[in-house]
Amino acid sequence: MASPKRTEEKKESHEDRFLKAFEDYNDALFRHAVIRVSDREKAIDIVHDTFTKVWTYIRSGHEIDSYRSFLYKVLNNLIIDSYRKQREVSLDALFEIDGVDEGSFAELSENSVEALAATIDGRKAFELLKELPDVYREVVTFRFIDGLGPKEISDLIEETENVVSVRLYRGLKMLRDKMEKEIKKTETNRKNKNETL
Amino acid sequence: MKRFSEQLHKKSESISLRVDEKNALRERLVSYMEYHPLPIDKKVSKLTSTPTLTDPVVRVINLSSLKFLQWSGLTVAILLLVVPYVAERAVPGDMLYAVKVNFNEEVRSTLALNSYDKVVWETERLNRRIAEARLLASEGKMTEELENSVAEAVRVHSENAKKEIEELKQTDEGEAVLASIQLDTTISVQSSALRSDMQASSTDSVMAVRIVGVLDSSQENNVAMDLGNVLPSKERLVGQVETETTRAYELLNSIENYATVAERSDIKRRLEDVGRKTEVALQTFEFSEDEARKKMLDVLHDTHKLIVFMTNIDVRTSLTVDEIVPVTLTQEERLNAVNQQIQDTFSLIERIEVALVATSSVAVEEKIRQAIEESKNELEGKIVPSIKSNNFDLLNVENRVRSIYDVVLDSRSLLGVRDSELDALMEDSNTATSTDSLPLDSGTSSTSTTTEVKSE
Repeated sequence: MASPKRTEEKKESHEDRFLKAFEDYNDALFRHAVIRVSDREKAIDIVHDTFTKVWTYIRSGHEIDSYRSFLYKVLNNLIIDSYRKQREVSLDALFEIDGVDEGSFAELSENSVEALAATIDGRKAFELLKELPDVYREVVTFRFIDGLGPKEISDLIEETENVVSVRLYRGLKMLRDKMEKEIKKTETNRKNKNETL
Repeated sequence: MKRFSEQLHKKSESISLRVDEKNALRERLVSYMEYHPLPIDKKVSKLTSTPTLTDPVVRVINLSSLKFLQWSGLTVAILLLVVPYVAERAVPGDMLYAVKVNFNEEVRSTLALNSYDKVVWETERLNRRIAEARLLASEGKMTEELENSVAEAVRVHSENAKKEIEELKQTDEGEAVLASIQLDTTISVQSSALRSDMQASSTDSVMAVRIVGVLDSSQENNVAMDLGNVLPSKERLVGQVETETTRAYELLNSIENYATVAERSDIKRRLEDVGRKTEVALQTFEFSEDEARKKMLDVLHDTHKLIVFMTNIDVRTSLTVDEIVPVTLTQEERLNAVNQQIQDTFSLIERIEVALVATSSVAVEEKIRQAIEESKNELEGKIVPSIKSNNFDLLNVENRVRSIYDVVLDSRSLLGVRDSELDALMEDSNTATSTDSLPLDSGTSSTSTTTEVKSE
């Protein structure tokens, strides 16, 4: 009599594991989506679609070893799809503003990225994140908000780790430049104000 | 970088789903899962890492399942097939008797769709209870408690049958009459058999007395008494007779290996009688419908009594067929019997005449001689010639011959001589007669005997 009961428990664990993944990652996925699409309602729909697609994938007989990376992969594809559908700008304009060239040695170094990040105020950077082109916003979000490593990010976006590193470096540099521009702009405004006075 | 990452992450945490948004999202997702459930065959294999037959856990589980299924199947088979079959042989006091009475018989009751079939089945159950009681009594296992339960069961089955007959009476009186025959004849035969047992033995007489009491009480209150004037239609009677006689012949064939040759012969003879009675009844329909129907009912009574006799081995050991259904003589047999009685009458007259010589009372002698003379005159002058000319009513002749024989017997009684004394007187008289050599198998031979007797 014990055998059928144990078998039933195993059958139930599919749904349990899937729902547990929802509980574990719904906030993180939502946060990522909001940062990427800058629309709360759209982000909710994308998260919902992410989980339904994963469920369909399971139903079709596939097995998922790691929910985390798989969920991010699906989410990222859906975000790109939403760009394709709704943005008037071309994908080239979106993704290749700065090209996908191999980059310089400094751009390829993880140390360079760390060094650059150390010079940036994270709180201010978060406010400027939405101004970054998506190719940079994508990797910066994956790396510094979602906490994924370069290897994981490269698997997700299907680029080499070098490309990921270059985009990270350039994204951070772009953030710092924006921040510096903001500072300069603020200082200029203050000087102009003082001169006026 | 760590500081940057922490600051960025901390800042991003301000973005999160509200509780209501999370609940709504979860509900949408669960609904989607419910409408798109996992295929049954996918459920296990996807979670477990491809179990193989060599995996001990899997092997143990499979074997357990197999055993479980085997045992379940075996249990179901025992419950549904073996137990009811074995229970059929149970008697009161056995563990499976409740299965027999409350399951087997109740299931079979549901197969009886109309009231007539229900009467037949309740009657059969009554037969079963009596057979069980006989078996217990013969094995010395009958207790007072079992006696009570058997008597109660007999009463209940009898009452059930009566209720069905009563219901049938409301809708179809003819059918009710036919159904009541089933119950009446069964009670009658079983009651006779039990009475016979009571006379033969005292070991089970207490049980027999109680059951007979129940049967008698049942018969007294029989609803059939209210159906006395009801006669089913000709078609229905003929159909029922055909059905019952066919069944009786089938039973006769089936008991070939169990009944003695004499029993089979007796039963066969009664069935032939039934056939002849049926022919007579059918002929009677031409001039008297009601008379014919009554005769058909008699036929049905006889037939069903024979069926009860054949289907109950205990009844066969307690009674003879003749006690249940007496032989019905054919015309030829009846004629032979009449001739035999005429011969016996002449023989008795001859012996009385010899004995009269020795009597001392003149008055008695005259009286006897007058009676004998009148008897001889009627036999020789009227009855024997009518038989010879084949112009007679057999029933009337039978009655007349019987009354003459009774008169002659009275004469012998008046003479005060026993048969043995008459025989001795006959030898002493040395009056050789040829009476013994005169068979009276036919009207012709009867006439010759009369002539010889007269000459003496």
